[in-house]
Amino acid sequence: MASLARPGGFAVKVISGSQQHVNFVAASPAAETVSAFREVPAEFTTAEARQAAVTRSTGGVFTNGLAVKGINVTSRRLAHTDVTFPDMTSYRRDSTKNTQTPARDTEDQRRALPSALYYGAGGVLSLWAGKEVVQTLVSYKAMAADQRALASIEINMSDIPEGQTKTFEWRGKPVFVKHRTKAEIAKEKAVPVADLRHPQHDDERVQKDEWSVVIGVCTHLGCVPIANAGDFGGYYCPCHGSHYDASGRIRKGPAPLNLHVPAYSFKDTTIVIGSS
Amino acid sequence: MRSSLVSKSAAALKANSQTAPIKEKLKNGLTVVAQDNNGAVSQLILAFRAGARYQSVTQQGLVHHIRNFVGRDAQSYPGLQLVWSSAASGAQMNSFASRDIFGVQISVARDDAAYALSILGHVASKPAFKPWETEDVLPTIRADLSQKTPYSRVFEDLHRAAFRNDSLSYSLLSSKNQIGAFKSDEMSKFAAKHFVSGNGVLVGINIDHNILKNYAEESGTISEGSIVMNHMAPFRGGDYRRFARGDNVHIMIAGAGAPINDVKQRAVQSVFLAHVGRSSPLKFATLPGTQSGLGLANLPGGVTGSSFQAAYDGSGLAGVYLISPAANSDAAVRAAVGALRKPKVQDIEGCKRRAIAEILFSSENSVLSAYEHATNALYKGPDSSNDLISEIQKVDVKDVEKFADGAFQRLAISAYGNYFRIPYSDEIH
Repeated sequence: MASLARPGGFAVKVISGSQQHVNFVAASPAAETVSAFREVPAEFTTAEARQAAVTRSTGGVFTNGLAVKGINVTSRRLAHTDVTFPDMTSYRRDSTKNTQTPARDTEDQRRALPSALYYGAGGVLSLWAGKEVVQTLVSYKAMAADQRALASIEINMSDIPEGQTKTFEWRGKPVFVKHRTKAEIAKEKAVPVADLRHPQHDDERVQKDEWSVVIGVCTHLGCVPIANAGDFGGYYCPCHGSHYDASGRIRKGPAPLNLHVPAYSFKDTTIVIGSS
Repeated sequence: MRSSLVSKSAAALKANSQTAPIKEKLKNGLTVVAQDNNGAVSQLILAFRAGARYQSVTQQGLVHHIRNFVGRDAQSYPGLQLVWSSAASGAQMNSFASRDIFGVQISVARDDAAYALSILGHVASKPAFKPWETEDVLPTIRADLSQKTPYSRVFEDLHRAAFRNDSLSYSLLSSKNQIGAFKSDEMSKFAAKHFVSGNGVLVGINIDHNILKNYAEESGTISEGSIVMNHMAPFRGGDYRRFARGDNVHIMIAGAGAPINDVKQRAVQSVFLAHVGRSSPLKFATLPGTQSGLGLANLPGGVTGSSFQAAYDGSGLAGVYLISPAANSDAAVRAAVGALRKPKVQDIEGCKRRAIAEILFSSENSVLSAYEHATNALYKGPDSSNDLISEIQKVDVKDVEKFADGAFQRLAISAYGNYFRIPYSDEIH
C-alpha cells in the first residue's frame, strides 16, 4: 500500500498563479500517546510564508475543511519505533541473536547439512566402533571355545582303583583325582595342623575321605607336579623340589600354598569337576 | 493578447461542455452522476446525506467514528478482504465527511473500475460496526485530533460562531472526551437510517455511465430507503476564540454565504471573493494583488489574508482568513471587515475570469470535481460547473455590491492564538 507523502525529486518554480502545496502532517509519536499537534500556532518568519499558508488553506467550496481519512493508503506515518513486533527470540538460533555479529561470521553455525552429517553419520560410526571394541575385548577375555566345552568334566570313579591317582584336563589345567587308601586317609587326618606351612586340616580339603581332588599346578611357579611321588606320598614338583602330601598340602620345598581344590561334586558314580 | 486568452478559455469551455455529466435518479431513489472525460483513472464516490450536521445533539463526534470505521468488517465481507482487494487492484480509497455529506472515495485505474465499484458499495453502505473492532478504531481518532492544523481549528470554530447551536456548528471531528462514547448499535442505527438509496449519490468520473447505472440498479448492495432531512442552520453570527501561545493569531471572518442550491448567489459570491483576493497572482507577492479587496484595504504590517467560501444546504459562509501578529490584529480585522462590506470593484471582468479559472482548475482535478458532483447532486446544486460559469458571466458590479451589503451585516469571527486585541463582532460598525 502506498504512502501519501513522499517528496519526489521534482522541482517546480511557480511563475504566476498560486503555489502548489502538499499539505502533509506526520505524527511521529505513537498514536496512543499523541499530544496536541501544535500548542503554538505555526510561526511564520516571512510574509511570503504567511501568504502561502492562508492561500493553500482556503481552497474549495465543498472541500474546504473536508475531513478525509485514507483507508488503504496510510494517512499518517508512524515512526518505525512505534511498530511493535512479536518477540521471536526464543525461536531464533543462538548464532543470530547478537545483532553486532555479521551474518557471514555465523554462517557455518546455521548450516544444517554439515552438522547433520558430522553428528549423524559420525555418531553412528562411533557407536559401531565402540561396539566393535567391546565385542573384541569380551571375546578376547572370554574362555576359549575348547575350554568352554570342558567347563565341567565328569570322572567315572570306577576308573580309578584305590591307591591310584589319575590326571584329567579341566579348563586347560591338570586335575589330580586320588583314590586314597585307608592308611593314607588315617595318615593325613593325623597330621597336626599347627605344623603346616599353609595350615589346613584334611577335612577342609576333601568331601569324601577316599577322594582327594586337587588342581595339578604347583603353587610355587606353576609347574605340574608328579603324582604318587615325593617324601610325603602325595605329589612332587620336579622343578624346584616341592613336596605335597596325599591331601595336596605343601610339606617341603619352596611352594607357599597347598594345591588348590577345585569346585566339584559327587553324582552317583561320578565326580563332576566344575560344579559344586 | 487578452482576446487570445479569452478565446482559448472559450475553447476550453466548449470542450468541457462536450462531456457534460449525465445525472439520473434511479427507481430505488439513488442518484447517479457520471462524467466521462476519457481519462485513465476513474474516480468513484458513494456518498450520503450523513455529514456531521445529521448527528443529534448528544451524538457529537459520531460521524468521525463512523468515518474512521470505514475499511473494517462489512456486513457480508471481512474488512481486510475488501481493503486488500482494493489495494491489490491498485486503488486508493479514502473515507470523508463534510457537514453535509459522508462517503467513500476510490481512485482506480479505469479497467478495474467495475471491480472497485463492488468494493465501494460494501465499504461505504454496509459497515458492520463489530463491537470488538471499536478498540482498533479509537487510536486513529486520537491521531486525527493530534494532526489538527491552526486552520482546521479556526475553521471549525468559525462554524461554532456562525451557526451557534444549530446543526452546522457540529464539528467534523470528535472531541477528545467523546472518543469511544459510541457503541456499535448506535453507529449501526445511524448507518441503517442514512446509508440508503434515497439518501445517496453514486458519482463516477472517467467511467462509462452504463457500468455505474447497472451497478446501482442491480447489485442490491445499497439498501433501499428514503431521504433524510436535516435541521436548518441559518447564519446567526458571533464570536469563538481559542487561546494558544505565540505572537500570531489565526482569524476567520465570515458573513452569510450562498447555499448550495442558489446558483446565482454562488456565482456572485465567487466573483466577490475573487475581488477580495483568493490567492497571490505572483509567487512572492505578500498580498493577493494591489487591486484586490485585501490589497486596497491597506492591512497593517505582517498581516496576510485570503478569501474563502463554504456552501452548505440552506446556508453558507463567505469571508476571509487572516494570519496576523497579535499586536496588529485589531486594525487587521477592522480593515478586512471594511473591505468585505464596501467592495471597491475596479476590474469586474478580471474578477470574473479569475473566478471562472478557479472553477475550471478544480474541475480539471477529477477528485475535487467528484466531491463537488456528490454535494451538488444531493442538495440540488448546479448539475455542471458550466451552469455556474454561465451565471458568473452575467454578474456585474451592482450584483457584487448588493451581495456584500447583505452578507456582512452580521459577522462571525473565530480566532486561534493570541486573540486579545481582536474586536468582538458586535463592536465593529
